[in-house]
Order: sequence, then C-alpha cells, then structure tokens
Amino acid sequence: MSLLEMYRLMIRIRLLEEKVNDLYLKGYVPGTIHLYKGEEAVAVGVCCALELDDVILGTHRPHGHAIAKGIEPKYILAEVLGKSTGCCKGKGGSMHVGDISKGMLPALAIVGAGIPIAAGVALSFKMLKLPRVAVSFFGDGATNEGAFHEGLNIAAIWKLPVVFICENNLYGVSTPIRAVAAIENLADRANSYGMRKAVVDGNNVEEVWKAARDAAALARNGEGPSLIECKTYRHTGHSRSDPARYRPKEELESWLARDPLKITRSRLETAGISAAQMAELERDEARLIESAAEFAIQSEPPSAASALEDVWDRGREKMPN
Amino acid sequence: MGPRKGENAKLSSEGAQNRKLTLLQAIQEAMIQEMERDKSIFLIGEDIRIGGGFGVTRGLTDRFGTERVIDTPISEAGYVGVAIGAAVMGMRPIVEFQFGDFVFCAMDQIVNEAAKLRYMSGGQISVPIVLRLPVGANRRAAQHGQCSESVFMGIPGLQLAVPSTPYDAKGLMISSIRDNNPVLFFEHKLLYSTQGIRGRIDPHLPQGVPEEEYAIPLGKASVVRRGADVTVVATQIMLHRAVEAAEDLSRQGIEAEVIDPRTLVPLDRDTIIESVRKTGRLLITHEAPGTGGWAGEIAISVEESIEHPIPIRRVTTADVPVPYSPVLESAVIPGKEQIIEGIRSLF
Amino acid sequence: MLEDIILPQIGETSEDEITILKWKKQLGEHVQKGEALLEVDSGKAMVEIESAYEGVLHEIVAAEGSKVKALAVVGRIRKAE
Repeated sequence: MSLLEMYRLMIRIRLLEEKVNDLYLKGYVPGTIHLYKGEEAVAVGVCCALELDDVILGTHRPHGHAIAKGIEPKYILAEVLGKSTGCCKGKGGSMHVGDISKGMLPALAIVGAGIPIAAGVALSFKMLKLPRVAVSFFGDGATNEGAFHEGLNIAAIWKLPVVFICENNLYGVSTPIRAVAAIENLADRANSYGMRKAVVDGNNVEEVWKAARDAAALARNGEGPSLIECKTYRHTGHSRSDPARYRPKEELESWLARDPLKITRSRLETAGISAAQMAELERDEARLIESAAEFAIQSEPPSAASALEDVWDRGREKMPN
Repeated sequence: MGPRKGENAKLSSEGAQNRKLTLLQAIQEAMIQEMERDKSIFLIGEDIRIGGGFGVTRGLTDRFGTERVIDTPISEAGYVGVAIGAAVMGMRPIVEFQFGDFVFCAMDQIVNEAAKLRYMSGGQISVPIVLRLPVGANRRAAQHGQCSESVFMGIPGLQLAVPSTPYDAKGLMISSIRDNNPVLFFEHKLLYSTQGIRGRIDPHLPQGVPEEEYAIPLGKASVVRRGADVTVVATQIMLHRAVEAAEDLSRQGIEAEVIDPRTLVPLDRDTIIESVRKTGRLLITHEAPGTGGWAGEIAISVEESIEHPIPIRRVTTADVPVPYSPVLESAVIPGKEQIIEGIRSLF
Repeated sequence: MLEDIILPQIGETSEDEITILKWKKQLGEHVQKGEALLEVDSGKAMVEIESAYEGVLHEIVAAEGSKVKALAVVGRIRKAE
C-alpha cells in the first residue's frame, strides 16, 4: 500500500466527514454525528496494514474506520441518513456502521465493549487455525472501562491474535485524559498484562502503518496481542452538540497545524508527487463523495414493517465464517 | 458436522420412560453429544475444567481437551465478550456463570451487545451463544441465590430457557446450542439432583431421558398435568411444587391444569390461552420476586387475548433480596401451601 | 436561489426547545460556507451553527430570543451563483 493510496483514503475520510456535517446542517441526519476529522491517519495507517479478511471493531466515531476498511461511502452515508440502502439497512445509524464482508463488525457505541469482543474474534481465528487478525479501536477514555482490562488480560494470557489500537485524542467528551489517568502514556497499561506495546504519532500515517504492520505480523505468527497508542486529536467537538470549549485555543491550533493530511501531503511532495496529481486525486474523491451523498439522499427510508425484522436469525445452523 | 437426530427423531419409548438421569446429567449429556457432533462448540467459564460451579462440566476436559473446555479469569464481562466475538465469527460457545448471580457482572455485554448486534447490523451477523446460569435460593443468601429471568425477559434479542425436568433440560439445551441466537439457560440448583417430577402427571410425558439426541423447540410449553378447573403456569422449582399442590387439591375435588412454559422467550402464549379458555381461572407462580416479575407478563398476555375477564392471581417471592437463614428463606419464597392458597383464592 | 437555513438536530432529543441566542450576520451580509451564522442554546451548551451555503443572509425567520425545535427554518440565504 503506497503513501499516495493512503493519502487518497485519508482525503476520502476528510471529505466524507465534511459531507456528513453538511448533510447534518441541512437537516438530513436524524441524530447526532461524531466526526473523525483530524484522526484519519490512525484508521488508514492501521487498516492499510491489514488484510481484507482481518476483522476490525470500531467505536461511536466509526466513519473513518469504515472507509479505511473498504466500505463504500454511499452505504455509509445512506446509513447515517437512516435509509434502507445503508450498510445496516438503517437499523444502526452513524454509530453502528459496519460490513462483515469487508471485515468490519457493526461499530459499538458502548465505550470499551468492543475490546473483549475483538479478543473473541481473535480466539475464533486461533481455534480455526486461520492466519487472520482482529483489531479493536477505542479511545483514551475506554482504557478506564473494566472491559479494557478484562479484554487485554484475556488476550495476553491466551496469546490471541488481536491488536488493540488506542486512539488517544486527549479527551473523553470534555474530560482531559490527564484528569482520569495518572500515567502519561496509556500504552504503559500493557505492562500490567504482560503485553507488547508501542506509542506512535497518530498523525503520521506511515508511523501508524509500520507499527500496525509489525503488530499484525506478530499476532498472525502466534506471538500474541499488542497495544498501540496513537497520539492524535479530533478537530471538532465530541459530537455535534459539543462546541468543545473545554480545549485551550493554543492546543487546538497546534494540533490543527499538524493536520495528518498536511503532514502526508508534504511527505508526498518530497517523494516527487506533483501538486497536480494530488489535486486530481482530491477531485476524484470529491466526485465520489458527491455521488455518494446523492445516492443517500435519493434512497428510500426503510419500511415500517422492517423495524420488526433482524432481531432473530431463524436460519439453519451455520458453518464458521 | 456429523449427522444428527433432532426434531424428527422417533424417540425410543423405552428411553423416554425408563432411562433415569438427573437434570444435571441430562444437561451434561446434551453438551457432550452436541460437542461430539459439532467441533465449533466450546465451553468457557470459571473452573469448568474441574467441573464448574456444580459439576455439570465434570469429565468434559478429558473427553474434549483443554482447547474446547476453557478456564477463564474472574472476568465475566471479559469472557462473555470473548464468547460473543467468537460466536459472531461462527463458533458456538457455551458460557458458564459459576453462580447465575454473576451474570450482572456481564450485563453490558449481554444486553447491549449480544442481544443487539444482529439488529444494529441490519441482520449481517448472528450471536449463537448459550449462557448457563445456576439459579435459585439455596441457603447462600442474596448474592448466590437469585432468580433473575424477569430482568432479561424485557430485553429484545435474548431467549430464555427455564427447564424443570431432565427430559426438557436435555432437549432444550440441544435446541439452545443449535439456535443461532443468544439463549440464557437457567438451571435451578435445587433441581440438579432430581430425576423428574414426582406425582401424577400426564402419562404421555416422558419420565426418562432418551439416549439419542432430540431437540425440544424453543417456544413450546408442556402441559404437565391436565385438569378442567384452573390453569397453573409455573417454572422450575415452582413447577414441582405446583404439581404437588395439584395432587393435594385433586383430593379435594379441584383439578388443576399445570403448564410449564419451558421457555419464557419465546413464550408459548397459545397453549396458556387455550387452557385458560377451558378452565376460566389462572394462577401464575415463579420464584423470582413479584414486582416486575414475568407473572405480570403472562397475566396481561392472557387478558388481552380472551373474550371475558377471568380471575388471575400470582404466587411469587416477596420483594426482598434472598435471605440467608432457612426460616427467612421459606418465609419469603412460596411453598406448596402458598400455591394451594393462591389456587383456592380463585374460586 | 433561496435556501432555507434549517436548525439541525442540535439538542439531545428532537423535542428539545432551542433558544436562538445571537445571529452572527446581519441581513444583507455575505457569509462563507462553514462560517459561523448563529449561536443557539441547546439546553446543554451554547453551540455555533455554521452556514451550509455561501451567499447573502436574505431573511431572519427566528429572531434572537425565540425558541424553536430542530429542523425548523430559522432563516434564508440567497445562494451565490
């Protein structure tokens, strides 16, 4: 996966999130939105180090992971708008996007809940002797949930092929991480579980990619889990109802100056990619997002009767996926 | 997966009548037979390698190995989450809670994830897990003796099995394992050592446990005893007490029809309503506390469906945590006498 | 052409009454896409709503101090051609 391809995915995420915001302002989005702007390098760096049949679990802020794992923007936008053509048939909405055929479970909005579940996905790979890896994305706040500790411990003792990615954007809604964790690097919590750890610049997609690639290889090789802490920052508030006034202006500005798109663009320039090439890529992606939005807006909402469907699986017993 | 017998098997009538197993043995046999048939099934829980909380898993490590009988740390949320993740990918885990009361340590995983993952995904995935809960008051006080099924009945996406007999326990466990959705399987501790219902029950009902595999569909009640004067709906230990109560009342000219729902979700309302249309009186009894208890659900379900109002009562445990001292325990948990009183009050 | 300025679903529930605190642009003033257009009180916080369009603020429907529900039309913009 080249840096240019990773840049394309990051642009796609940025434009998607801006479009989500736009649709929200125009009244198309039934609920609130949690935008991933500013964190693109984490989702892209990690997912580009994975195979299609590796499985990721996302959080209430899942649009970036969904794009990075290969879900088409139109199905994400349709889901955010609550349409029947959405990836979850309008049943989940923004916080639960996912597509198992692309290796993404429906994202989970209970903070930390995906951590032991990802370990369980990894357990199935180990039991079935498959060379696949599970990845759990979660934020800084999640590392205080019991499920984080229980999940990491189990993954470590059973040497499960799972990579835990902590996206430390310094805040859980309005609560700064330094007020709720007495340690500087959340990755150090891996020590308590005898687990391998790394701390990376979450705005440098190549650094993220390398760390994820190494961790995934170790996991695939039977050498167990890792915890990778990615230092990053969200450009917007927690959700649309959060103006994020709790963040100091200088802090916000310094992180905006380190926008992962900017960092990647300058790396590409150094590597000889022309401004014209990048502009064409950006236009491409803009067209893709525009047509995705059109698709979502034109799509039908689900039928009322469909609200009663999909609670139960009444099929025959299934073989493993 | 090997060939299997199930809903269509003709059960050996000898086995159905004479082969006596305890409820515990019946559950164990179900798990053994299913695990032999389907390699995707595994067991997970605390101390299950040495037999678990009550010996249900004894001997299974020797049979199936440590890869399929997995001991966990004391991490209910963690290992239920792990079971969910494995189930989503196609394995079929059976989770044991050492005591059913510890299910509350895993509530988020069960209620917010297991019950809802399929729906939120628009039907992309399923969660075929069985969660085994040893329940019921047994002189271990409040945190080791709850009957918690009422709590879960109100969570769409969870199925609840409440077997009362060895025959039902084996058949329901087999169905629960084969079902592609979460099942909470409530095992009443006081029934583990029982071999069936004592007393006069419908002679067509199997009293023993056939050796072959058979699946009892979830959502099918059992009419344990037929009668024309009053319908009694009861589960687990209360079912046994209800049959005893029916025996006593029979000698006094009251014939009770006793129905065991066997599963609370899905619930066989039709069998109960059909009986109530015949008898015109309904008593519901469960060990779970009364307020918010599922007796209320049965009562309104019936009321909504019948043409004329009928007297309905319930006999349930008092709204208290389970007390320790045996005198207190029997003061708050209904016995045969309280059920008799409850039935009489309908006349 | 005229575009409605819709109050997005800023509250925690769709029934919330949102107070218009302050219009940051005057009638006839130019506004960029993404520029702050008005401040509202969602009940939970003071939130800025940015403009979805580039153009000129043509009409104010919900005055400062008024209470509206989500998806109400609070004003209109004449979009730049």
